[in-house]
This record gives sequence, C-alpha cells and structure tokens, in this order.
Amino acid sequence: MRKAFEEFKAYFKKEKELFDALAQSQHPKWMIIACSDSRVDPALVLGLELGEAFILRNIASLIPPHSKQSGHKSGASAIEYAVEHLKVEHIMIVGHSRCGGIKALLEMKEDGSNRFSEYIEDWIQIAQPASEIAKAKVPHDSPFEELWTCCVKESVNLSLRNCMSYPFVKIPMEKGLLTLHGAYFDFVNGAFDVWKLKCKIDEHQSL
Amino acid sequence: MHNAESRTPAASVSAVATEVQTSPLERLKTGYLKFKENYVKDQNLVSSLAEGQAPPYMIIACCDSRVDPCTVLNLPPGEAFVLRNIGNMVPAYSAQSACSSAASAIEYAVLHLKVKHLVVMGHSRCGAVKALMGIEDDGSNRFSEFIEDWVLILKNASKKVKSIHKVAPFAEQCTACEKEVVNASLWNCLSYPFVREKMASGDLTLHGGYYDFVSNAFESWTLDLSCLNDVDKVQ
Repeated sequence: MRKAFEEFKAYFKKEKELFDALAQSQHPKWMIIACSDSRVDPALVLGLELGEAFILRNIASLIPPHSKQSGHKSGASAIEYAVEHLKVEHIMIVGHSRCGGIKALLEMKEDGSNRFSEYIEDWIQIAQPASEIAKAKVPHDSPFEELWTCCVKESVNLSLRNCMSYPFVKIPMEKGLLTLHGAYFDFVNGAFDVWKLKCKIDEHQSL
Repeated sequence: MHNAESRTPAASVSAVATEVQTSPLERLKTGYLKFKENYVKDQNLVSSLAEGQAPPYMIIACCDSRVDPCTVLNLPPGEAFVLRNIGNMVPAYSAQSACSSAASAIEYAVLHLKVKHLVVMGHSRCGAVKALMGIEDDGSNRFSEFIEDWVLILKNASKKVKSIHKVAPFAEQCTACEKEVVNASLWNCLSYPFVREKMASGDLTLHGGYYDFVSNAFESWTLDLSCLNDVDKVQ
C-alpha cells in the first residue's frame, strides 16, 4: 500500500491547486451507486477525478425502498447526505456483467433449501422483484447469460425506483434539480450503456 | 460504446477546480473511452476478469468524493473488492443483522472471494465523523432522517474520543475520532466469526488506513493477532 500511495503522492503534488480546494470541501455533481465487484470501480471505469463523484458501493449496487423500520441504513444515509447536504445533481446506479450477487439471487430456491450464507441472501433479496420481472421477460429456453443480463438491468431499474421512494430524492427530481440515471457496464464486450429514469406527472385536467 | 450519440474525441480531463463546460454525460463518456482505450491493451487481464475476480484486497472506505481508494492507492481493476458507506463504518456482528450491506459484503469477500487483506480506510475532514461528534446526547439537534442513526452505530468511538481529548478543539477531536472509527470498525469486523476464523488460520490480515488529503499523507497499521485472545472477553 505504501508504494502505491507514493505514486499517488507525486500526482497530488502536481495537482496542488485541485487538492487545496478539495481539502476545504467537496462539491461533487454526481452520486454513483456501484457494485463492490473489484472489476467495476466507477472512478476507474469512468475516468473520474477525485472530487467528482460521491460513491456508494455494496453487493449488486442495491438500494432498498424507503422504510421507517429499524435496520442499518447505509444506503439511505448516503443518499440523504449526497442529495440534502452535498446537493448532487445526478444519481447513477451502475449494474454490470457477470454480477455474482445477481447470479446468487437467480439461483435462490423459494423454499430457501439451498441457502449458502448468513447475510448474503438476506441482502440480495432486496432485488427479488427484479428477478421475477426478468424471469417473466426472458424465454425459458434462453441461455442463462441472457436472464442474468436482464436481471441486472431490472435490478438497476428497481433500485432507481426505490431511490425515488425517498422524499428527499423525489422532491428535487420533480423540481428538475436532480436526475436519476441507470447504467450497465459490460466488461465482457466492452460497453457502457446509460439511460435516464423519467418521472412525469402530467398537468391535472378537470373532467 | 453502444449508443446513438455522435462520437467526440477523447479529451483530457479538466481539474474540478476549473469550470467544466462539458455536459455531465459527455464527461462520463470521455472518461469511459479513455479507460477502455487503456484497458483493452492488456487482453490477458480483460479475458481473465471476464471469467471471474480474485482480488487480494477488500477495502472499506468512505463515500467521500475525495477518497476513492483505487485512485489513492493506484489499484487497477480486479485488485480490490470495495465497500463504501458514509464514515467507512462497520456495524458489529448481530444475528439480527438481516439486510446489512457491510455484513453481506464482508462475508462474500472473506468466504467466497477469499481475500487475503481487509483494509478499513478512514480519512481527514470526514463529514460523517463530524456529524457523529456533533450529536447532542439528548438528540435535540437532530438534522436528518437517516444520517444520525447510521453514524451512531459507532457512538462508542465518539464517547471515547470526547473523554480522552476533553479540552482539545473540535477539529482535533474529529481527527482523533476519524482514526478511532477505523479501529472501532476493525474491531467490529473481528466480531464476525468467519473473520476471526480466517485470521486465526493465517489466511486473512486486518489493516487500518488513514488518508490525510490535507497534508498528503497515508498512514497504515496492521491489527495485532494477539488481540484475538481478548475478543471473546468483549462480548
């Protein structure tokens, strides 16, 4: 770690003006929610400089829906901080190819008879609705890879909708101050797809 | 990239301190194309990572935009499985911890990816630690829906710092707490039986790290195995 930091330190000295500003405060425009997978670090993949993106990472980049129930709120607290305090303008949730978490979700039996972990299934269960959608969308005789890819993208969409269930996200979105994006990083074929989540409530009309 | 937008030439990245005129998505596109250009040069790495990951490190770091661990520690794709939350905090093991991002990530890293090193990395000017240190005992200055409840998982770290550094200025207390939070998180990692087992068998080492971006320094320390004898006494 020491040797690696030495190389960074040289870069730090070179970009002194940037780092002097960052030492005082951060003003990232982006919040990125990405998987913990070692192959998908969003700062590396998107060539982001320090200070550009506030980044939350967990297995399968999942965001649970807004809930007042007790339980650890690592995602909710991070989003609240990013939106209310840092005033980020964009939230992007990035899914990726060959996601182990989503694979585990797809392989889970309904009766729990093939449970293999203490915590992993309980976490990945957040994306259960996405698994149901993907299984309904993809023909039964398709290769597993197709179901896997579809489920990752549906999981991103689910987490985006779950983000919207937080009032501190919904309100700035409706005012046009915050945009939500989905993304799929395919490191097998070398592609990065992005899409926006649009939420529009039309003007009321009297009948 | 497979989308309908017209291509722009890869441009060099502007520093955050100067105004960036590029649209937000164009900015990401530029960054991605540059990454892709470099990444495909190592086809062995590309094919091996397409098949699977075998990172030697798990790093637990803060969401703070200034402390991306792969950037600060120059780690290429495939090297580190990374969990990030506000304050780089790890809650203690609990049989009731259903739906915990930290517990599930640590379990996956230690038992399935079989990482060799688990690093908790704290940093200077941490907003989450500052929030923790600023919480009144009676909760009268509560300012958020979720942030206080999250950071209070390590309230013992702030209590300890406030008693040891009673007369120090608030900023100094926060610095001490940033490091105490790393140690408290490491201690909580140890509370997971699967972490203790791997440490006892010599397959896993726990490390603390502290990145000070004000003075451009990085400290690291390794957890001494002899403290394992004390773990059972804590509960």
